[in-house]
Amino acid sequence: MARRPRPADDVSLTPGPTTRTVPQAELPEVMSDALRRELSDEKYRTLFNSIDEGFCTIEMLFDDDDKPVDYRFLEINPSFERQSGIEDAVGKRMLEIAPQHEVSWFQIYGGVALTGESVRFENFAAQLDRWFDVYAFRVGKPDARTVSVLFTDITERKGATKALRESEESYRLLLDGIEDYAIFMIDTQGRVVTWNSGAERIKGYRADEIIGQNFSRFFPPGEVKRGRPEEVLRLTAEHGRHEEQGMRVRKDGTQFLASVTFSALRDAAGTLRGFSEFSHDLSDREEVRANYRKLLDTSLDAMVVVDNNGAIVLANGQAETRFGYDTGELLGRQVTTIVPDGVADRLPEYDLASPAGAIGQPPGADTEVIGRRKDGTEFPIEIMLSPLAIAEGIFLTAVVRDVSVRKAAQENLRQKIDELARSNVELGHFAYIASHDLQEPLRMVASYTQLLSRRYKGKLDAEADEFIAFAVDGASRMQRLIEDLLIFSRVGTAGTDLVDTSSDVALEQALQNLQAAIQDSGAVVTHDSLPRVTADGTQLVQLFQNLISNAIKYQDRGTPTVHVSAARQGATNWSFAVKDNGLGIEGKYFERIFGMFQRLHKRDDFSGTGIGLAICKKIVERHGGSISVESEPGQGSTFSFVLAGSGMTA
Amino acid sequence: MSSARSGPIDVLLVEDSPGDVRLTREAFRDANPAVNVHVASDGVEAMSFLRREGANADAPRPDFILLDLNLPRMDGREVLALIKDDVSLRTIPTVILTTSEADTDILNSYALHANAYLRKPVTLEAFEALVRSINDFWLTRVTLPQHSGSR
Repeated sequence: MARRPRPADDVSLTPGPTTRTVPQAELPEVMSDALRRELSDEKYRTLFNSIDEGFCTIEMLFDDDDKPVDYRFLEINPSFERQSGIEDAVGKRMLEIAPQHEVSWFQIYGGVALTGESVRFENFAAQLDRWFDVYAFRVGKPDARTVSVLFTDITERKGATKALRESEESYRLLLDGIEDYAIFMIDTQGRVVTWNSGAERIKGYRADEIIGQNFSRFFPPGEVKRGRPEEVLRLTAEHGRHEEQGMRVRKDGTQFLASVTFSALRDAAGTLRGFSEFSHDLSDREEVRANYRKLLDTSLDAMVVVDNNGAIVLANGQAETRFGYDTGELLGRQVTTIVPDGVADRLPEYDLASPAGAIGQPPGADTEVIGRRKDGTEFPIEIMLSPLAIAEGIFLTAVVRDVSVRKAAQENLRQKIDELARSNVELGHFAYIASHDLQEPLRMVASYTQLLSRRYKGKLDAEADEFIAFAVDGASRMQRLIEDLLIFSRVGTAGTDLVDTSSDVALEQALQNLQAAIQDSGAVVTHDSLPRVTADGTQLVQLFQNLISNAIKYQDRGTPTVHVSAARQGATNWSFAVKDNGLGIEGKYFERIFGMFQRLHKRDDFSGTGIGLAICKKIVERHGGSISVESEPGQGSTFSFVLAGSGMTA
Repeated sequence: MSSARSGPIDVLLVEDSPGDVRLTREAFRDANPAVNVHVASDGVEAMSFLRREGANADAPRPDFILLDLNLPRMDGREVLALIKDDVSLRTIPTVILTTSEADTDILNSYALHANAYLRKPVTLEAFEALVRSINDFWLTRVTLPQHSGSR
């Protein structure tokens, strides 16, 4: 993964033991054979006794394979104990004192004992918890395998270095963890000094390839020729910071759009020590954008993104197809090219100058406008605008939906509805005219059969009388049927406006119209005081008349009694009830009786056209109300209907 | 002064339906045998009768006119307008008897000074009753100006 810059003095900082062979020529004079011989001398012993460094002579111990595995202390100086922290070392083996003592120590000293080559090194002794600066050299005869060690405890110094190292390490790890940004330092001459993993990923160079190289190689050749790298450093030094977007070159020569920030690095004294460069590959965003575009392309709706000048900055495949353009052809064009009205003129509504302004706007409601194809043909579209705030700025997204099909369907539906309404009206007229015109010849048939019956009854034979009677009956039934049909068709076509109407008066009129029937049947019709309602008075009379007429007619025992009442329903409506003591109706017929030509009784029992309640239903529904029945056979029936009150008092 | 009418009463029935003509005749016969029903089967004939043109030179001036609205050649509305526009004819009670129940027909008829507007009843009984009441009222109780033009 990451190649990281190594400080020049890294060797001394490496935790493991590092050794350096001290060339013979560098050996100090004291280490000459002559001097060594004199070490046993008292004065040198005094010297070693008095020095601050620790000193000891050890005998190396090897295993059968001549691998150094331990050593025994032969002699030590007074400083030894202080410097090493080991007490009473003489005669003891190192592994006796510190069983976990690192093998590295044995290897180094073994090497000295075997080769006679002196070494100087720094090493850590974990069990002693000390760092040592060590100088080791062979003493005595080679096969004696004795080594003298002159050492200093450098734990304190090392400790400080370790803290620093840890801090550096964390920092390095931190920078290395950042993969999306190239972060590195450049010296004052433009040479790369450090390199993080992001830099390697983005620019393609490993640390060891790029450290020490001039950063100008990141610039395209033309820029280098123009002196842009130097200019960038100059600007950074001048202003402390410099930002730019520009093309950069990867190791493989490919270029990419980068966003780069340079900062000048100065020490406490203000001296320029170098620069940091912080750069980001914007082509990643291009990729995101490409993915976004792919996503947009899957949309069934055409989508365009428009900048605050009305220029199209993004259009999906649907948009291109719908408007007849080739891929990419819409980019940069004015949105008015494809939507002449409805977008550009609404741009000011969206304060695209600031995110707050743009986001503050409610998304545009669907608007129907005209879309124009590349070939100039136009088609209806529905457009939905909403502001879009992204890193690059604030834009307006327009979702464009081709509504030709829907419009055509709507138009088709509207035509069908019109036709249906017209045909309904025609049918209504037809029913009216047909029944009206049928009435005329029928009047002749009925009148003349009646005249026949009247003048010739008993004058012809019995059969003739019977035939004439059937003709008279049929004609008069047909007359009632046609009369009811006319009334029914007139509810829709000949109704008057719904106005404030006294239902009391309407009921009185109905009772008057039914006078003969009431008298013949001996019916007792009572009613409460009835309210004023919003109604067509004539139809209200018809409604009462039909209901009361039924109540009187469908009766098989004694005196028909009918009661009409009204009760408030809700704040404004009245529920009327016409209650009788008649035959009653089975529950399964409750719906059916309000249908056209629905009869529950044989003609011989009760005459009727089967239209009366259909008329009632049509009247009530024309008034926006509803009609229903509650009944049980033998228990009488209650017909209820709801009408709107007129707000007037009765 | 009660009905000082003696002799025949002349009624002009302007009606194109022979069935209705006969019914009306029958009904008048039952109601009042003194009534003479004269028939014109369209507006042109009606005006010819009233103006005693051609074959109608000897036609009586009717005491009463029953006028249907929907007629061939010249319809009842035109006939009504002509009658009420004619100083010598306008005093003849002219009553519309029609199947039309259109509001405009009712309104226009009265605007043209029809003396009454009657709907043809659907049943025979009702028709006969209507003719009886016409006889009772228009031909019996109503006092009309004496007309110098009458013979």
